Amino acid sequence: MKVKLLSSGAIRAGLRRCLWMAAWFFFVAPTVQAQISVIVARSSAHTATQAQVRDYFSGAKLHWSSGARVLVVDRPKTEIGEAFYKKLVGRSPAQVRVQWTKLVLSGQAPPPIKGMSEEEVKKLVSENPNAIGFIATSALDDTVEELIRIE
Amino acid sequence: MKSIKLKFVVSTFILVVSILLLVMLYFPRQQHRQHLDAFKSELKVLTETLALTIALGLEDANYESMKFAFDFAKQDESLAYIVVTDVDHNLIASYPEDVAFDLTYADTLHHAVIDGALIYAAPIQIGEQHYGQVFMAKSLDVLNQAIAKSRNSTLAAGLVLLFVSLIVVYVIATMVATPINKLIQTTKALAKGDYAARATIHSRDEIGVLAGHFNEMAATIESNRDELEQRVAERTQALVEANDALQRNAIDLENAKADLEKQAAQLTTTVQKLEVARDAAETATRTKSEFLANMSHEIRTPMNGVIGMTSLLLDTALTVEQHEFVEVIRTSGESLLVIINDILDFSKIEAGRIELEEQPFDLRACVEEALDLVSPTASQKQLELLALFERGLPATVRGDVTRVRQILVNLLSNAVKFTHEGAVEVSVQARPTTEHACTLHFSVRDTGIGIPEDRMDRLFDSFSQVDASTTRKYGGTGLGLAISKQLCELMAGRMWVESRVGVGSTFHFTIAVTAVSDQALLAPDPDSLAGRRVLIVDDYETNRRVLTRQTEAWGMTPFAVASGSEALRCIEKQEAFDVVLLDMEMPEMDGLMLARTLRNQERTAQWPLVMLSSIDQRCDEDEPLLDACLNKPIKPSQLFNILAALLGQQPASAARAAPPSPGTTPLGEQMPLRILLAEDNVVNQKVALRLLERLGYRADVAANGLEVLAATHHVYYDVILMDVNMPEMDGFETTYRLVAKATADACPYIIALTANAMQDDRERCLDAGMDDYLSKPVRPPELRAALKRAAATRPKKPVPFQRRNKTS
Repeated sequence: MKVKLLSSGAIRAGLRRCLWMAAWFFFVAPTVQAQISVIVARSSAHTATQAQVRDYFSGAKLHWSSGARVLVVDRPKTEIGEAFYKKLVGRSPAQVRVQWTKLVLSGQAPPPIKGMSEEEVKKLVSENPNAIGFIATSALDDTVEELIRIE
Repeated sequence: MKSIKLKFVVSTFILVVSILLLVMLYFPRQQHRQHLDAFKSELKVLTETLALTIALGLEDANYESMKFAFDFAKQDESLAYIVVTDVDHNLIASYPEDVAFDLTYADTLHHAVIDGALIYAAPIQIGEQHYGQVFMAKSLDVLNQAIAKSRNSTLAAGLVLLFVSLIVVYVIATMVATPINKLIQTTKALAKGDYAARATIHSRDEIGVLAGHFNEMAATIESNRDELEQRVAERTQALVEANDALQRNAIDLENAKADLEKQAAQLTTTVQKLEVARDAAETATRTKSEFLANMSHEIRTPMNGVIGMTSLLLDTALTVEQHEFVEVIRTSGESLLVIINDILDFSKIEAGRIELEEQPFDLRACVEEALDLVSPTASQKQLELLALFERGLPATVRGDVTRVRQILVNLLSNAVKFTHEGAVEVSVQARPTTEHACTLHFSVRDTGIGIPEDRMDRLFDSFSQVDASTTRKYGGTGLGLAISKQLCELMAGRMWVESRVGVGSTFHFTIAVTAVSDQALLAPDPDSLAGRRVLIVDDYETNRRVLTRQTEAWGMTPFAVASGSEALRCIEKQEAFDVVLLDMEMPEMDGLMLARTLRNQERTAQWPLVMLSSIDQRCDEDEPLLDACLNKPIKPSQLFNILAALLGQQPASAARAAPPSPGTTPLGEQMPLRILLAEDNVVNQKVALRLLERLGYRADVAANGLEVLAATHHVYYDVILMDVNMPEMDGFETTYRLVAKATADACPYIIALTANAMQDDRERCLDAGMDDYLSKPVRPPELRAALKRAAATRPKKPVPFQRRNKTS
């Protein structure tokens, strides 16, 4: 008696969990799981770890390890921008920009460049060897070099 | 001088300055508030604009607009500083860069003034998301400068106003003050006597009117003054004349005064003469009374011998004839003594030399002693003697017992003397006058010959009796009543008489006394006698009445009958009596017969019987028929004690309280005393020794004070009979020495013997230390009483016989 009851309840719970997992894979995973690539110019010799990249975008570090000034390309009011800063720094873009405001108003650093679309970012990065930007991995091409990829 | 001008100027000054101060205090404050409000809104707009710009810039990474807005804000001329912080209060940006801003204020600030700067804080906010705060501060220096500037201009305007108003007021004050000053000058002139002065003011205002009236007044004063001066001259003339008249009078007075002084001098001389005369008169009076005292002494000394010896002679074996003769001698002697005493008293009263004692005494005892003195005579004449004490009498009163007794004895002996049959009755009443004082009312009633009405008014005159035949028949000096009356008046009372010829007389007298204690005389004890039934058997109506009233006063129920047979009838009818009072002498059936009859009846055999008898029919105390005997006059106290004892409330020993019979047992055996007689006169020595012998005493004799001292040196005496007048050393001196020598309990009892019956003698004796006093001639009962008193003070132990042998 007991065995019967137990087996029928476990079967029903397992079925419901399978249904929820299927729905997540088909509808939610494709948008959230879109990959973002941090890119530099093809000609750039710069390399960086993910921690270094985070410092550059949050304004904590202003220079490449070679000594050249980092030129950050920001993408305000975009979905990818929101997602990027959340994943990389763990904060909203506006919160990250507070640190940039301090740097700009005190004259310590020039304000970041704005690149609105994927194409514009790629163009800005490819034209400037000290620039660093981010685009959807799907938009990667040979004009730029992927520095790291953020899952 | 505080002029009107000054008052005007000062008050205007105070007024203007007050207004100025008010304006300068109020307006700058108002201005400051307005400026501050403007500053605040300006600052608010600036700050919020910057905060919004930064917020939008963060949203779309528009750093240029942020920088522009920041730089724009810096442009404000009164700006103190700008501070931008993030949400964790970290500094993002500031202007100037080294601003000292305490970030701990950050959360509390909205609008505030810190360090002379107005601060406003605005949040950097997008929707619900906070990114930090913008603080902007404006310096208030500009504001303060503006206010100071406006204050200065106000002050300047005020000073100008003050100056102008002072000038205006000064001018107006001068216009008012000038005519007033003129008026004042005129008044001064008028006051100094210049009555022609007038004020010259022609204005038509109030001051002008005032000046006009003033001038009219001045004119009136001028005319009045002339009239006054004329009158003063007239009056002055009158005064000068009056003064002259006064001076003339003064001279007359001086003369009169001189006359008076002369008369006064004459008066003084007269007074001196009078004083000499008075002294002479006083000396004469003193001499007279000394003569009287001496005479008294000189007469009493032989009288003592006569009376003493005759009374001793009466006790010897005499024939009937001799006995009669001796009796006449004794009676005559005593009469003579009474006359001498009366004359002495009378002369003292006339001379105003009598002094009354103020001693407490037993009222009842006083009356009973007086009765005792007349009872032998009354008994001889078969007269009833009665005493009745009304209720509410004080037991002890303060007064002169000797004099009260003297009056009573006088009235009683008169009553007994003039009554041939019937009774003499004394009654005493008290009428309270104040809380302690009361008036005692004595009345002595007899059933004697009475006094004719036309003689009554002369009765109390001295040397007066009813008529000459009375004197012949009854004897007497006629002084007694006069003395008694005067003594009463000395004691604040009076004396009067009611009488009917052949029926009897009643003498009344009153004296004022003070009660010593509240204890009423013979206050009935309700427990002892109240409600008891008493049968009174007496043939004499007055006696029945007295006994009835007396027993009623004690709460008893009396039944009074007039004869033995009536008593037996009454006993048959009535149930029982608690006690029976029997009169000894009754017609038909006498007291003893009745007592025998009652004892023989079974019902009445155990009733207490009290016999009332006259003094010479003394009943036998051992008579088994009777429970008690009482001798007439019946003393209420004795009757009370006997009744109380018989009815079971008093000690049984009091039951047979018959008076002690003198002569049955010699006093000397009852109360042995060692006696020393100090007497220089040989006759008086003998008299005294024989009197003492009759009382059962043997006495030693000393002839003067020195012998007394010598005798007492060897032997102890209980009593010394001390003659006051002795050669060598008199009685006073001897007493002083004895008292000084002896200790308190070993001092002999000293009885003075003196022929001077004056009151002051008695006091002198007692002052000297003597214990008692007897006046010569010494009468046996008085001596006996004195020795009894002496014995009472002696220790109770019996006298050792051996010592007595040694002395004799």
